[in-house]
Amino acid sequence: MERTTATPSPASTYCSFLCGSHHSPLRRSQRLIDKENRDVQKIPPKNLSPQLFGNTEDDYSELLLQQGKVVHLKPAAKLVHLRSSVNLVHLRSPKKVVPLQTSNRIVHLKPSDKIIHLKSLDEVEKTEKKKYNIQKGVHPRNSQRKNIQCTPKKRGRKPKQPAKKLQSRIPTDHLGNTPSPSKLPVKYPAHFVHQLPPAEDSSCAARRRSLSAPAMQLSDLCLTPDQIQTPERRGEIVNKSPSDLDSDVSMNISLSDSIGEIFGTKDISSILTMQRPRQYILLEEHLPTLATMLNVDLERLRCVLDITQGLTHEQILRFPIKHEEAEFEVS
Amino acid sequence: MGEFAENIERIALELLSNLVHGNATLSVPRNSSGNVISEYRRVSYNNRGSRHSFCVLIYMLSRVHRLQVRGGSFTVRGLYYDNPLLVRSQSRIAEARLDVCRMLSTSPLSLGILAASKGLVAGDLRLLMTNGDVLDSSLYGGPLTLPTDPEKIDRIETQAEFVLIVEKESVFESLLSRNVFGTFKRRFILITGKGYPDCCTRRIVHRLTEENQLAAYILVDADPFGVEIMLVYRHGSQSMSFSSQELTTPALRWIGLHPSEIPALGTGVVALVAGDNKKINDLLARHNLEPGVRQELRMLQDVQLKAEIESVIDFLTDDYIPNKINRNLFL
Repeated sequence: MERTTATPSPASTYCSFLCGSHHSPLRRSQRLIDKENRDVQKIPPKNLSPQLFGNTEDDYSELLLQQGKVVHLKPAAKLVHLRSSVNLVHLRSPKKVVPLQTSNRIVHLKPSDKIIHLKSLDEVEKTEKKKYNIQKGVHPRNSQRKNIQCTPKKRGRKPKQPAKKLQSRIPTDHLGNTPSPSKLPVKYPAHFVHQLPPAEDSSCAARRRSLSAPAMQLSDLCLTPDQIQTPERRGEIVNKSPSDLDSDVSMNISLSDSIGEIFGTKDISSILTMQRPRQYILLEEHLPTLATMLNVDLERLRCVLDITQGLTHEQILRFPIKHEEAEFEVS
Repeated sequence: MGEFAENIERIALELLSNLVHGNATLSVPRNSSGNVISEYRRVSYNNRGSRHSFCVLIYMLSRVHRLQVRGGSFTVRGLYYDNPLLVRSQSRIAEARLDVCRMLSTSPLSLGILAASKGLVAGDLRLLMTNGDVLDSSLYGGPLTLPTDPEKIDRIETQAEFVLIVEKESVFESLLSRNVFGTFKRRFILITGKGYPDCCTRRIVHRLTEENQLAAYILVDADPFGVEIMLVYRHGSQSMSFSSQELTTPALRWIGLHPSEIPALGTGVVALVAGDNKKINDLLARHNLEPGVRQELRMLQDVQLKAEIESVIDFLTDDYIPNKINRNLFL
């Protein structure tokens, strides 16, 4: 971090690093040479040991890493929003997380310019299943969650790195709560006789509107696994992650209502003619219904969303809408 | 002459009358849950096994009598060093102190037998001592050691709204380092007894709730020993159950960590060991356990996991404690 802030550009960082890395091995080599000179006469001073070369290579590779870091850190320093988008990244598929590019980052920095494909809680449930083996029948709510089955298949989006992060979030759901500004469960067991619901803060009321509801409610609102586990779903992409902390998630049962809330209109055709990129939030469970409503193949719709998700901000801005429609035959 | 001195003299007279018949025996009440003493333990000079205990007990009675007649105070440690050959070990004198307290049905503090204070306090608190000294914790940002003799506190002045007791010194220090008083919007007093609390800490908590009418909250580990520490503050210690009225805080509010939260914590959870389970059973066997506490202990027994306060330390000051207090999530 210090290097990043102290140097004006990644290039200069690289150079300064390079110089620094050269000095240290040379001093070491000099020491080695001096030592060897004492034992064996006439050793050419440029004859560096393999160890030194190895070190230098390590330094180079480290430099490259550092360089990468510089590029990554720069936008973060510029835009405060990144912090929230970091959370968001964790919740998304690792594919998106690992190959972070500067342009992609820009998309993330502007929440209005991205499409969030909010996945269902299947992964959460899968991890919870393990916990159930340990805590069988521990909590009254646990028994309710037993009814929720995991969707077995996962195509190409199996989380790699964020598993830990996910795990740290999952337990929050154990008492039946979505991740919320407060990490405390929304509802405690009945023997907490004095308990009050979480206070609504006016400053973040809009945020809490979507976040304060417990996961149990969310799962109740979503289609149950029995309902959604259709044969054609077995081969589809499953990119399950808990609700995004910094996103507005509709909790309405009605799909049209939730679409209206997200897009500002219930007119599907106007939604599809994207005049400008904006933030879309879609629950995984709603996808089949949406595909039916739009009269498009579910896989096709999913592909469109996935491809759109992978686009950079610039790409989206320069994307001819007609071309997009023609290419994917969405409508 | 005080009541205690008279009682000691009565005990001495009874002993003398028994000595005439060759019976040098003292009867020490066993710990009883109620006010009625039903069982006694016999400490006899005639019995080789309890001869030393008898001598130490007589020594202690004489010192306490002198204390009651002349006034002042002493520490158990000081008493040991006055006559180490007789006392042999500090544990012996500590046990004799408790025996005298049992015989007189009072607490060591009331008798003027003190121990080095281990309680720490911080926050909005001014202790006005009987000799005119003022211990002002509000002026000093760091922790203040509680005075050894709480009876020398003439008056407690505070603008605080509540008292927050934390089990561990590490958490106490952590809260201070995280500027807990700046984070909270309300004034409060932070206290720790560094594990199992000494009489002084419990007495001051008692006085704060009784004299200053402050609500007291406690934060302990979600393990049986944490629960027991909470119960010591609330109902007094088992070893001094005979005289805990002035040391207990029955209205103490247990705000965490609750075993029912363990599944939600996710990280920092450890499996219970045999000692933990034994302690749970011991606690469950107590008749004065509140239903909520009993429920939480059963939950602990079920999940077979425990968690420390440190597992929520990251969001302790800005989320956990404020929300627990604001939402009345206490038992």
